[in-house]
Amino acid sequence: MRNATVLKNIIEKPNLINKVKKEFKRNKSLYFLSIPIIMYYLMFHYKPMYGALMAFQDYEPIKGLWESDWVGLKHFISFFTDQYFFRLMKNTLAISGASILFGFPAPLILALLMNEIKNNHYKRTVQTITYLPHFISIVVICGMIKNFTADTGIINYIIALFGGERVSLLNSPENFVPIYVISDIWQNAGWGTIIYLAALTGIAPELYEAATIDGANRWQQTIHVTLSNIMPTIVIMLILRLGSILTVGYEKIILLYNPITMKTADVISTYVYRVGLLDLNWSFSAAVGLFNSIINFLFLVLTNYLSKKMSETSLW
Amino acid sequence: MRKIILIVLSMIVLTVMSGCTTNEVGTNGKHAVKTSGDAIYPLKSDDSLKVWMGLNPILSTVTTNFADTRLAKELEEKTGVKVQYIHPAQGQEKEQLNLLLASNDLPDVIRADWYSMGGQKSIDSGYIQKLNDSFDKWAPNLTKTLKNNPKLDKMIQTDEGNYYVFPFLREDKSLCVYSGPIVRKDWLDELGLDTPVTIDDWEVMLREFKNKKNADIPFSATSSFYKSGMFVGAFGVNGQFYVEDSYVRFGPIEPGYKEFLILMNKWFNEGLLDRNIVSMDNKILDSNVLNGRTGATFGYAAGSMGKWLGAIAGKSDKFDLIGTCYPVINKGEKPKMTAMDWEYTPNGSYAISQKCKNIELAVRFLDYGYGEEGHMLYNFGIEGVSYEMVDGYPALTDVIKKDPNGETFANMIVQYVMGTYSGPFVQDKRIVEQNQPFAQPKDAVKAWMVSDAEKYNLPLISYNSEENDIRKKYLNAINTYVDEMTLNFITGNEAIQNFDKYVAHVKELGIAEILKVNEAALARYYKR
Amino acid sequence: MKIKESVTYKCFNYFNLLLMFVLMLITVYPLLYVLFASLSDATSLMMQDGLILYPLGFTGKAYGRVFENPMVLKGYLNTIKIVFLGTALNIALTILGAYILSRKTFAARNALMFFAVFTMFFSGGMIPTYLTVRGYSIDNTIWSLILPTLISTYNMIIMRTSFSAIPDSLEESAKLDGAGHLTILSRIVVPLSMPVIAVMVLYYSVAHWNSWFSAMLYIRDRDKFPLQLVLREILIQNDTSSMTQNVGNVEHGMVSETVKYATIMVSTLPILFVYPFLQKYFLKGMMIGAVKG
Repeated sequence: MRNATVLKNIIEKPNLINKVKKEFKRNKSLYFLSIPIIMYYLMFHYKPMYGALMAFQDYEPIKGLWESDWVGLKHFISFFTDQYFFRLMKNTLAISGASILFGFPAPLILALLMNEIKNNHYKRTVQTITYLPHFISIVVICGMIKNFTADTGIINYIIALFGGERVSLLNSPENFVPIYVISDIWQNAGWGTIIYLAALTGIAPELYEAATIDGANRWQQTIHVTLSNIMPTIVIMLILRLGSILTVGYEKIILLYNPITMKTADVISTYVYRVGLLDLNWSFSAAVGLFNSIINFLFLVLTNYLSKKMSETSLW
Repeated sequence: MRKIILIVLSMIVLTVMSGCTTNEVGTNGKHAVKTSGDAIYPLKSDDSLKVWMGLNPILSTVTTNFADTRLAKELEEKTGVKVQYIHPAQGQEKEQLNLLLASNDLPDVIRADWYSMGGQKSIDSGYIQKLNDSFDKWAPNLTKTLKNNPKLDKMIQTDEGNYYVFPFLREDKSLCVYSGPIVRKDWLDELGLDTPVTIDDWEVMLREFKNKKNADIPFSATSSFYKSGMFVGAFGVNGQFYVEDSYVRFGPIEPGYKEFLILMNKWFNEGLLDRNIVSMDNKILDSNVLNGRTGATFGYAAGSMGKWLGAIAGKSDKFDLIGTCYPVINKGEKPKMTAMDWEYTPNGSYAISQKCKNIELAVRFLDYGYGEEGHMLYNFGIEGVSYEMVDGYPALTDVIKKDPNGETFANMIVQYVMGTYSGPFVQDKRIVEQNQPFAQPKDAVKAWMVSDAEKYNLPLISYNSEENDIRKKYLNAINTYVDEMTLNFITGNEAIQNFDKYVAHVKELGIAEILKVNEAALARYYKR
Repeated sequence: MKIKESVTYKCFNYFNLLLMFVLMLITVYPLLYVLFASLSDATSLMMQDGLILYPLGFTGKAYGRVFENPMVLKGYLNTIKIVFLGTALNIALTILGAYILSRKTFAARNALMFFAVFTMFFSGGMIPTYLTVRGYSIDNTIWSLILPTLISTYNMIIMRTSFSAIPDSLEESAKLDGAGHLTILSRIVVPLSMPVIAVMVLYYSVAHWNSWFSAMLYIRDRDKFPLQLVLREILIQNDTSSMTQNVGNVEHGMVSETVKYATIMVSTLPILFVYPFLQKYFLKGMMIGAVKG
């Protein structure tokens, strides 16, 4: 009798191997199903990742990665000690920060406003039209921006109506970030509403009915029903957005900046682009890219951690 | 029986003997290249060549592969070499070339800007062949061309004295000049002004434009217009590196530059210089010139003058442009610094890769363009078809000019010649002349050629890897700072009194190192 | 109380409708600009300084230039093939991945998430990726355009968030009925997530439609070129800035700007019709009944 109990205890002791076995048994199908996913990442993302090592070499395409000279942190140091390093960091964070501060809420607010439209036809029309600029090439959009902000452009026309002076807006460093962010919202807010609109459809109407019965007005309903229900989506979107904090693309800036506004407009990617024009320098751009990625990733991990503590939503 | 054997034997001997009158020139074993008699071409070989080159943009509207053109077919016939052409996607030639090199999948011949990639480096890295022996053995035409022009010879070598490409060469200085000052001729006539020569002339003219012609932006251009010498050249410097008395100098820190900035600032304040010059781009400039808001600018013969004249044609007959000489301070002076290319343009250079199996074939094929026959073919096309000799002048025929199927001049010419862009030959100015319908751009080039720039412009020097490291370290920051400060001085955001502080800062940024590097490279260049 | 709410609310509604109208005017303008410019005469367009409110000198020349290239039609066909095949595979794998990541009892899910998210930040760069893809011998085939971007981690994360919102009670009751994961996925999770799936279909289709860079890297046969690559080449062919050398040749520059706009219209119009199709999935109340059940 006693032996049987002892034996039973030994067998049922929760050791690691048993835990793993149990888990595997319970979720066998999931593990199998995840094989194609893992394969994809391994084959197309992890396998080429050795390329990041380029950042520590003086890479030459013909020598390949294994024959190129190793130079350790040379390129990183070269970047950190560059005359303009602090300015580039400052500008990148300023543009990115402003984009997040104003550009992130814009599609959300727009989606909520669209949601209030009672007439379905009007609603669908608004949805369809507001996302159109997203598809127009950035080159054309920048041409328009230059046109609007010129001293003979429409914005100055309005300024003049109010008694102000006509001045080409893109000539002043102070104007660059606002122009960049506002035009970004103009071009992309409509497209950004799509995911929120989809999330909004998942809220059961009964919840609104219940709230109305409880005496909540539309505004309160928006906060307590609408927002709280799509909060997971919003939080995840925000985490991901913050995870690209140092990523400011060069194309739009190159189209809009000039020597005078470089003070606020020159960012990491545009600077690296110009280095690349001097002559093709794989390793330097790889090093800067790696630096960017590391900072972005750390930001993501931090944001994710904070989110986990403060809400229930997080990536892991 | 004996008689028959004798006959048969003699027949065999005769056959063998006739086969032996061809000269076996190549000694690559089974890659032998045979020539017939004294003439080298057409070559006889079983091998073919793989040539990697960008397809000319205009050509790509009519065909997807160069091999389909009349030119390519004629080349094959005349040289006897079968060629397979591989084209990268348009506009992505640089990326595709790097992928090509990375994947080690090299074709036989690669057309690229090998100079900018580093000629010696490309040889050392194992991409392309050193061609010195090949030139001696198999490239008589190019060798002769280079012997006749030692300056050119220097340009296409590496510092170590190695040949690495079959270059695109221009026979005449007029082919190397294509940008300069452009002014509204009809306005000059209307206001009774002479073509401006000195800076003072320009100032008077711009004022007249502003006051009498309502041009609110008398002078405008894209913001880097001055770099090669416009206006700034009058003060003895330019906006980049140049050579004077065997020293390399950097224009933006020379005293002359300050004078230039003072002048520009004066014009800016007076409204003669575009208030928005910092954000000017070609599209806005086009519109300003055509609308009469701008009367003077800095631009290109074809890309600006030709474009505007073509656009306005039929819309208004009160529009004419003239290219003036680069402005100077005192009448009679010759413009010191102007935009001028060298007779060797690295852009259309052909190199032979280290993976090429039949080097002789490739060399002979590429050498063809530098000989008499090849010169005419590449530049003018096929005699009797695309051109005819009229009083010793190769005139383009109606096949090109008036295609019965309605194809445009541009589309037709590019199927027969390479002379309108670049290739392994010497460009003949007579094809360029015929390619431009308007007279004004051609005259403009004559005016822009009046210059001493040849003495001062930096030659095609090469850097080794230590020097490149130094350049990478300092040059981007220096360029960024200089560009910013220049525009700030011009617009008055920065007081000109701070010029010395600015120069001191440029020195802090390491300009001395760059100058040293340039001088070392220059010394090696002279020794080639 | 109720009447007061109504008044403020009514005011807000009118204001909202007005705001939306203004927004529509602002956001429809870029497309109209492109449309009008594409139908304009080249010179008039060059001379134009401000807003374009109608075609300047109506002409279809620019479109003629675009379509005279026989590759354009082929490009359309190639792209449609890529969009359909690619999006189908994308969606299938993304749904699978999102499902797995959303199962709360799956012990490895955080590890898997980290494994995927890491690749959003760190990559080998253009050359190693190029060499890797070539190493699988799929270059010059449609697979080189689809497989390397089979799953967008970003999309998968968003889908996971949506899947996680489905009440556990549904999964549990299904399990009690003996349902396996695939059944739960297909019978419960997918039908309830149609809006988000519709959004992903849109995202992936648009991405495939717009892509040209992969094709530039891997596709060598010109008749396999997708539309965007063909159009890029047309843009470059008509670009005057590359013709500044020498004194010659100017004709082409004439049509250049208008061709740029025609190209945009040609490449954009088709994809604009996808969204209205998908809009019907954004219907309210997909979740009714299911919750209470």
